[in-house]
Amino acid sequence: MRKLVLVAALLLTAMTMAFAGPSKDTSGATSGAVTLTVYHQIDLASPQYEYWPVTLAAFAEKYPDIKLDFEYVSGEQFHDKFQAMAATGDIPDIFTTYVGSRSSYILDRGLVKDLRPYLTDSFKANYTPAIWGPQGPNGEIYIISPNMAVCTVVYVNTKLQKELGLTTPKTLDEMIAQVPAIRAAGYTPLMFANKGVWQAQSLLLSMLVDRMGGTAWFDKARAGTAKFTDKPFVDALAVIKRMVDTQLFPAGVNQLEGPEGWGDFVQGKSVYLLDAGWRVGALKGAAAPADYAQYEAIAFPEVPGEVVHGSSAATLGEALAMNAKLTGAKADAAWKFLSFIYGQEGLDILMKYGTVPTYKLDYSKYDLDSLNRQYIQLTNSQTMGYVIDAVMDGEGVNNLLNPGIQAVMMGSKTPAQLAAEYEAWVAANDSNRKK
Amino acid sequence: METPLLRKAPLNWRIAAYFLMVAFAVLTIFPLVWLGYSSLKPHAEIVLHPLRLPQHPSLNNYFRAWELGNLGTALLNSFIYTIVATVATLFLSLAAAFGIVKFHFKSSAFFTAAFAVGLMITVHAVIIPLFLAEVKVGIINRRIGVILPYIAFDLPMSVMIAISYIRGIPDALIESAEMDGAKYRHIFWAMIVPLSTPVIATMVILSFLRHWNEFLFVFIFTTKASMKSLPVAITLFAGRNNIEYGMQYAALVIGIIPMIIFYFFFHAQLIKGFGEGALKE
Amino acid sequence: MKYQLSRKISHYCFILPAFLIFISVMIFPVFFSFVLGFTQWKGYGEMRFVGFDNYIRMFQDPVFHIALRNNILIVLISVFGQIPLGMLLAYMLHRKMVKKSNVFEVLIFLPITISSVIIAQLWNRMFSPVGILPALVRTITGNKDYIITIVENKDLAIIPIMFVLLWQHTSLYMVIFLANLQRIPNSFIEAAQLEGAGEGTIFLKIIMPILGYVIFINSILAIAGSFKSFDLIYSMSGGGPAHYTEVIAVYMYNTTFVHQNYGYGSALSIIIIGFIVLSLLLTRGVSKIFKVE
Repeated sequence: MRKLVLVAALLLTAMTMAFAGPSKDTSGATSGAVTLTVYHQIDLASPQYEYWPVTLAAFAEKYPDIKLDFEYVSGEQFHDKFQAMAATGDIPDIFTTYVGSRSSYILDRGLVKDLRPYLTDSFKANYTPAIWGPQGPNGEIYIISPNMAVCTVVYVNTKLQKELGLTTPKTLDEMIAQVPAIRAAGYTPLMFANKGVWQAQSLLLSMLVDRMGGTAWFDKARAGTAKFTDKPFVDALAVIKRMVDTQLFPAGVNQLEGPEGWGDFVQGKSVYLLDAGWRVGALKGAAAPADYAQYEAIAFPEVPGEVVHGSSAATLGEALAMNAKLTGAKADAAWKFLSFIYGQEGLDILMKYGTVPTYKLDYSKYDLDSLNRQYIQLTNSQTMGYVIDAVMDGEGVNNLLNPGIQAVMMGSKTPAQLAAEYEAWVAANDSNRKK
Repeated sequence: METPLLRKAPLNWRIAAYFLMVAFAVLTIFPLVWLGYSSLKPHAEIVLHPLRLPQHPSLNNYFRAWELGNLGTALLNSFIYTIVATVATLFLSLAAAFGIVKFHFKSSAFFTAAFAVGLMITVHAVIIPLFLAEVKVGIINRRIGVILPYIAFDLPMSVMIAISYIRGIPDALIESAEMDGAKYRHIFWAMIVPLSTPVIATMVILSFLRHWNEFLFVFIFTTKASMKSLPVAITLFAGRNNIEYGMQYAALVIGIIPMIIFYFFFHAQLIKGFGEGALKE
Repeated sequence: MKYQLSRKISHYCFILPAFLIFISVMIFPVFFSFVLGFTQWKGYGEMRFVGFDNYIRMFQDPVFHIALRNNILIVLISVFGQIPLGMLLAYMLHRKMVKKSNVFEVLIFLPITISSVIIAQLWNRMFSPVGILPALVRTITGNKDYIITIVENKDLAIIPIMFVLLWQHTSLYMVIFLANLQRIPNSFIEAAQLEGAGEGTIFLKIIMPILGYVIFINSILAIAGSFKSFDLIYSMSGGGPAHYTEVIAVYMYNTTFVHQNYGYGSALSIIIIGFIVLSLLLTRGVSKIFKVE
């Protein structure tokens, strides 16, 4: 009990002093084995990450002298804790980083190492050029993104289609025309889950805005020479409203959790599924092999009034980055680790587990299933629009736009109202407009 | 203390009592039973047939969850954090309540008000400054760095409950002990503590369960897997993208069982009566 | 004189250990929040003092309005739902009105032993469109598309959550009342019975007044707990859909930790304290009128 009171007294003294201040130096291990601390945003229990222990084993075999000390955290909690750590300025050696506003608490503080000194032209040539766009205000590159996060894919249960005598719709109108037949048979036409609130924006609106306006329009809206009250944005919102009104979505779309949505599709209760590209692995894990074999992946059908055809929306997938303070042996070890897991050897393993990497691999060497093959073909043939929450400030998107889309879907706001509110917020607060 | 004089409650009250109790019981049993048998089903079966009884019940989920989630270590840590914090909170708050209620100084009002202010403070309002301070003091990643905020956040409520109870202990008892020349710490240990058995049971139960279920402090203030508690380990099974229901439910059951056992042991203390007379108002 | 001094020293010796731990962990960080409430700050970089801007914004913020309304509803369900129900249940158990009262006691108590994260998942599996409750209703009524629609209604969306809160927290008050009922001698009830008082009269006229101060303390706990309620709502709905089930603590959490708007977030956490103080003053006033103490 005395110890408790003593520590409390100490804490009290610390409280009275200023909070900010310098902290320990993280540099230089001496010789021999190097230990790196890693703070990693993954859920080890999830089948999506089955490749990861395999990757680590391969790394340990090649570099037995580099020891890794992991802390795994998933979901929003990852960011909560990381912010507290970032506030002390003392963060782990390696950590998950997102390009854009989601990781601003470490990026803006200069805690992440710019990788450009390591990136030779021959190294960069191995990857899709899309991942080398600037990630910081001065063209910094913080991560080697292992995969593109493609946000809009429509999955088709062709067995159900045949059963109902339907063909794959080319346009949204055709898809809507199928609704009565599908509903009459007791199925859901287009499964979609939006309880997480971000889905309608990342997986649907981003793509629709690109179809309606293209990236050129979005660049203008970001900079302020165009507005979010313009036709492309309002029309895109109106399309979502129309999809709700025509009963394309399941009843209670805003009450469904992600896994409940695709779980329903896997059970053969819906003909189409609107979800992200990274869902392929989960579908494979959950569906009976015979069902999985007949799934198809298609682009979102043509929307009336679209100016860009067949596009989707994509952003760089998150990746591990390096602490800016690392020097000497530790920095070397960290680079060896990153260039291994995001190099040919590491991404080869990722590919074997069904995720298409940004590294240029010879796909023909891999034994890919038909859905993955279609997915690669599809995404290689599409242009990609921006994912709104990857480029606009988080507060406006999470607090106003995302819930606003739900309000539009449930009929308590009109597309024009939401567009006006969002434009007003962006004009007053968004960092894109302040540049 | 049942005396022949005390008559049973009338029929209409007893019917109402059964109605209320059964309603609560059903609302509790239904989800828990469902959780229990679902934890014996593989993930796919839970998703496909949420209501159905397990076709091939198996403890597989438990073994996998135990291993993947490091639940053994987590369970041990949970016990350490919970027991230390609960015992410390109990004695600190009983002592404080005794000091506040039975000395009749003007400062008592100040202390009562201060602890009442504590009731209003949300964990999130203090977490970042507290984290920074703990880093400065160097108790981050140490058990005391978790236990101390546990105690602090539990004190306001415990002190309030203790005050409300100790007020009911007659002053005359204490005054007569004082007359006999007893020291205050003796009065505390020999009178206040034993007389407070039912409220001690309440306080222990409530603090125990708060600490047992606490998430944020352990999560933010520790980084080593060897220091995680059960709730933190369990959330590992509830990632945002994929949910492995089977393993998650198994982990949940593992987390609930100790609480149920604990309550069975302690609730007997809760309703233990006293000799008539000691506490007559 | 010497006696008074030693009394005074003893008084502090009993209180100070708890008090020291309490202020070092809780009060100082709150001062920090209080100052931040007048700034615009991202958690790093430049801190700009903006006066009362954050508070002005709050009163124009439609999301804050919904959150406040929901918080007030939760206070009401706590004070006028959980406490009376908890007290009634405790009294029924105390008077052994049901057989196997131990079993019932444990069953009623169970919900509060389970962490809110788990409770939320359990009930979400009940309420969800692919969950158990709609499945049951569909089987019974034959309406294939049945879902729980109040969840998508701006005014009613909070009701399922209030229901779960009632179920979860009633036992907290039941346990506190149960302990305090022990110090009421049975002879009180006997005497009343001999005078011919009915059960209702005993409950209202004898038990309630003796437990007056406990009711008062429980109301304080209920009010403070309600304004701070976070865990269950965060895990059950996250404040959605469309902010319909938002409460101040969840909004404050998102503002601070997800959007890194420390200034506005701190102002929100200070306003939570403000509302609790206000309600406590009100409660004190009410308890004075009823001459509790």
